[in-house]
Amino acid sequence: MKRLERKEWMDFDDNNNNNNNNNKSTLPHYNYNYYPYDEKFKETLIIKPLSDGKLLTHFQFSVKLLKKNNKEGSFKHYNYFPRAIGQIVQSYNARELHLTFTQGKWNYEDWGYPIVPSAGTGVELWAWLRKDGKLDKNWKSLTNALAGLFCASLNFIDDTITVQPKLSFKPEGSYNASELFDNAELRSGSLPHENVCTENLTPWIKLLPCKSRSGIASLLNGHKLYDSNFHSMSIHVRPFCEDPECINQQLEILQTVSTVVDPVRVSGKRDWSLSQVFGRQLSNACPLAEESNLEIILPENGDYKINPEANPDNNNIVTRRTPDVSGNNEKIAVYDLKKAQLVNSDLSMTWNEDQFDYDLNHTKPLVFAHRYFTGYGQERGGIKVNIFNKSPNISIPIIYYDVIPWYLKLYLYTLKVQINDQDVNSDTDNPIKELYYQPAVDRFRPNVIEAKIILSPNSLTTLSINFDKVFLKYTEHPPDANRGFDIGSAVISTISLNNLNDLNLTTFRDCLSLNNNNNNNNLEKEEGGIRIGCLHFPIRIYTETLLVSLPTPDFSMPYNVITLTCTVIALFFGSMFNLMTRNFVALSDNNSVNNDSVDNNSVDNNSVKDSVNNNGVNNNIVVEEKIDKIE
Amino acid sequence: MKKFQSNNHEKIRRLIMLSIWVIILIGLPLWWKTTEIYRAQLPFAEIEEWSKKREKLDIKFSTHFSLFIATNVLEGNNNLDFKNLDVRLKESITSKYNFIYSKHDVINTSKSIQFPVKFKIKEWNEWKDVLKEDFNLGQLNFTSKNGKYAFYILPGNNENQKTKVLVGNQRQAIVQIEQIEHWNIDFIEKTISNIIFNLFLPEQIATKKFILEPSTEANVELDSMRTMKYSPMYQVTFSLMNGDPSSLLVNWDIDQTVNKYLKPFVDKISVISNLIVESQIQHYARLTFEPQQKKITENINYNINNNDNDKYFYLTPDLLPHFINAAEWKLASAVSSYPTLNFILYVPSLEQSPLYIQDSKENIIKNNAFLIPRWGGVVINNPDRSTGIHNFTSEELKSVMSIFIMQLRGLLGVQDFWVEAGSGLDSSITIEFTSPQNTAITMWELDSLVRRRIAENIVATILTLKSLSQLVAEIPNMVVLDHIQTEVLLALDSLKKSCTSLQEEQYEIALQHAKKAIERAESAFFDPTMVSMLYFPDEHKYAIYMPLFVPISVPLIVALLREIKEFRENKKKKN
Repeated sequence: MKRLERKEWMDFDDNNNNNNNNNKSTLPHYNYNYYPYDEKFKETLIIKPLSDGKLLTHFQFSVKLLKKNNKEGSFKHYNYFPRAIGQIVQSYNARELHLTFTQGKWNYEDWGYPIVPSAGTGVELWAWLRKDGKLDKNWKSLTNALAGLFCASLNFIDDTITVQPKLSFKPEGSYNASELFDNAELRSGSLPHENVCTENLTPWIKLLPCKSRSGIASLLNGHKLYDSNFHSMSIHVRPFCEDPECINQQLEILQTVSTVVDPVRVSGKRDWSLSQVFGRQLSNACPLAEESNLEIILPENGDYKINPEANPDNNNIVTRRTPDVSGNNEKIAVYDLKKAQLVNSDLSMTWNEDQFDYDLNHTKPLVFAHRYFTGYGQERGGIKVNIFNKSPNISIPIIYYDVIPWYLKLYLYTLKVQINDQDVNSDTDNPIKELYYQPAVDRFRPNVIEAKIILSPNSLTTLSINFDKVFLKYTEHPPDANRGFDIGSAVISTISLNNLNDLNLTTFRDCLSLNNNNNNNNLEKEEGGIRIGCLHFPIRIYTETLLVSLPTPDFSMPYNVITLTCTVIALFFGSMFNLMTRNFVALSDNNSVNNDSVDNNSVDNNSVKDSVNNNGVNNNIVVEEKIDKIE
Repeated sequence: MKKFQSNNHEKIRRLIMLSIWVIILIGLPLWWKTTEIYRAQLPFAEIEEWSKKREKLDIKFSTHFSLFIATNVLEGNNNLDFKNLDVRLKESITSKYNFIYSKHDVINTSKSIQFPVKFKIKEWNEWKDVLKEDFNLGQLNFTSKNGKYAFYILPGNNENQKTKVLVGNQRQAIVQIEQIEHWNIDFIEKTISNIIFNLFLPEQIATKKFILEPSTEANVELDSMRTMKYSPMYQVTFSLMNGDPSSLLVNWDIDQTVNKYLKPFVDKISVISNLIVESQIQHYARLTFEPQQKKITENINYNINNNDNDKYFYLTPDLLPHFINAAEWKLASAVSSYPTLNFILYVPSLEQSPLYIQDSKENIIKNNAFLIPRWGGVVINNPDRSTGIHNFTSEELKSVMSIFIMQLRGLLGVQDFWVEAGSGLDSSITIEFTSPQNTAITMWELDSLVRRRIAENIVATILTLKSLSQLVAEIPNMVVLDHIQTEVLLALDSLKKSCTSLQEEQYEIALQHAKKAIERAESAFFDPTMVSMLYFPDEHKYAIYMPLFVPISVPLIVALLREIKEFRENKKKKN
């Protein structure tokens, strides 16, 4: 302490210190709406009753950071933007980063499309990395750093899992045209077997500016969150343009948690309240948030009541067009937490019904899919995907993307397409307009199928392909080998109906072909003001993950084989050795041994017997070993 | 006939036995070779040699002094006779050092490291100009090389004052002998040797101790406990910790502040270590404990600006170790594996403010800051809460930053010259140090740190390599790959080069080589492949080979024994 008091040694040159002091004088007087930061934080909780009585809760936290300081856009002073993520994104030169932890399967038919694309069960990571000569090393380091940060096995995303999709997972940020195609590559990997739990949630919460101490994040309660039908937790980092020319870029980090809980399971009714769903109440908004909203997407029909009621006079009930449902305006009740509308009141929704009756005629989304294994036995099998288009009169373009690990050997010639159970024979009928196929290399890379498919109206398109199962080396099996191997979800990217209305099919095709030739002018011409590139597939539909059981050896086998082989060799050697180094002499009990014959035939057992037989001595033959006792 | 046949059999049998044994004997080394673990050859002998040499390490840190002595000081008797001054100075300083070393047991026993001094006496004619301008050191020449210093000696004109020494922030010092009757060769010799001895002694003792007993904890001085372990790169993180954003929002102009106050220091120190500077703001940074509270009494009137209530909160020294809330404050870096230095500006929550630190005598510590050895520093600030928002401007952060830089100096091992040098001087001399302009480190301090880091890195490299060779020798089950060998060879090479550069008094080059040496040695030692193989231990090998080797070897050995027995019997019979 004493040493610290000596300050006179330091003699700062203060001559050029006349700037930036006016900052303080302009501070407004105690006003929460003024934020002295460059970074902007928004928090939103969206609650949506689903058509099968379940309840979707969706937390969304977004921090926008203005990249202004220097040309390279690098930054090292953090406020709301989490330092851990900033460091990772910058040091591994990632332009975009998307990481999703999911448990359970989103039920597209009953629940519609999720608010942000969910992902298949397990962990999914994809990132656009800038080409800087060490891209693959960066990808490896990126997975390792994220693994450490989130306590997940992301470091197991190695070459055998990593994929570079050609058509799917387009950049989701906004870029100026020159940035879009030339200097970054996509890497993607998923771990369908990964379990998601509180040890992943805790570091995730720590990235939030207010952690879980205030604001809607205080509702994130691990006990309730993981007691649900589906939950998904994600982090998206992407650049964001502020102006049409994209001179000022922002970096946005979007953190989301979605859960689907089932109030019907508890009470038989759809009624819910915040304290029932989360076990906690909402006390206040995060003081750092610029906006802090709680939104309830109100059901189209039904006799329900919300308490406390949203006040229509206060512009609390708004209508907006949501991207996924067929163009209808949705009614949304918005509670502004900054205005303390909900403080210390337990928000609840009650339905005027004795018991929830499942609505069989609820609107289903237009496109959904199911995938399953066919075949039996441990030698070969097949994969079948059913893709539904429920639209009565519109053909819908989709991109099918499937990654099959190398230990299933796919045969491309067995790829078969059926529409409504009818085989497609002619090329013109074939809904597959383009197909990318990457054959697997054993222990090096997976099979990848990517296809552009046009789904005809009101149809069921079925893809099927056969494979052989590989017999793995015994060290390649996981510790729980008999459980089987998880095969990650197939991903179907499609466009929402809203976009579809705006977009005729010719532009869709052109947009796809743009991905191959880097001709950006084309895009700009056709799309006019859109500089966001081919962001025309905002909906991603994930199919079921599959579990395949490969031929599993008995794991004590190697040792058994070794011991058995050794014993056989030892027995063989022993007897050979004895035969070669010992003389065998036949002795009869009457001692009438013909020495000559013994000597002549001593080497071979059979000949010993022969010689004995030749001598006509049949009774009580004793074959006795004789070690050179012949005088 | 019979006899012949029997002999023939015996011969065949022996041939068979012999051939099998020959095959086995040839097979054994082959088997040994094919099941062997790959171990690249490390230069054990050379490492051993270095580690033996460590205690008698032939390192010399020589320092050159140019003495500029004012001419024509006294009327008539024109100049002093400086002929023998250099030799006399050298002898007197050396004998002083030896006297000090003889008091320290450890240092005395070994002569491994030496600090020879050399003097050059020059005449100085322009001294009167300097005197006029009131000690302006900027005009004086200084060298740009570590280990070469200039002393300017001139007479003063104030008979009643003591001899004044002013140490500049470049490599120069000015000595003014005020009493004119002392302007003679003996007094100059005494004064200069006294000054030089005191300026350099702390560094030398520290260096010697480190080299001779680098690892014994008992010997670790307070200074070295505070100093971070050497690394070529440090991650410096400034964190603004806000206890409760619901009552006060805080922000800081850290970018400006760092550029203005810290950057010159970072640039200067980059010779030794590079610093990566980052900052973050953390909200809801709570303490793990409740600070104690007290009523404000009259005698405390530090800027306590909380008018609402008349109490304040304080931390006692025994609470300070628990200050850092490691579980909740995100302080670790996600990407860098270099050591992190953390500097925290803590703004307590409303319920705990104002917050002060008290020493053991219950006095509030003025700068409200403390240092955590080998970790970083903390400054507690109680800003004005009236507006609900507080922005720390770079002007406000200046005092905070000066504390942080002070702490950073300590953590990086910069020794405070004035503290140690002042104490040993005799009372007839007053010493003053020019403050470094902006950089927060003078050339004297930087030079001293460079020299100590060279010595430390050389010793640390030797110790690391020694441990590595011990490790390799102790764990036979460990694979040693080629790149480990390369790293070790390169480390040894850098070590040699560093010592050579030292002999040539090229301190900067020596430091670069020493840095490379320690980096390579550590990267070899901490390589992820340097672990014992877990999956195929010896027990497994025996278990697997047993079913083969035992059944095969039994008949072989039995047959061999029988053969020998027979051979003897035959011999007996013949005899």
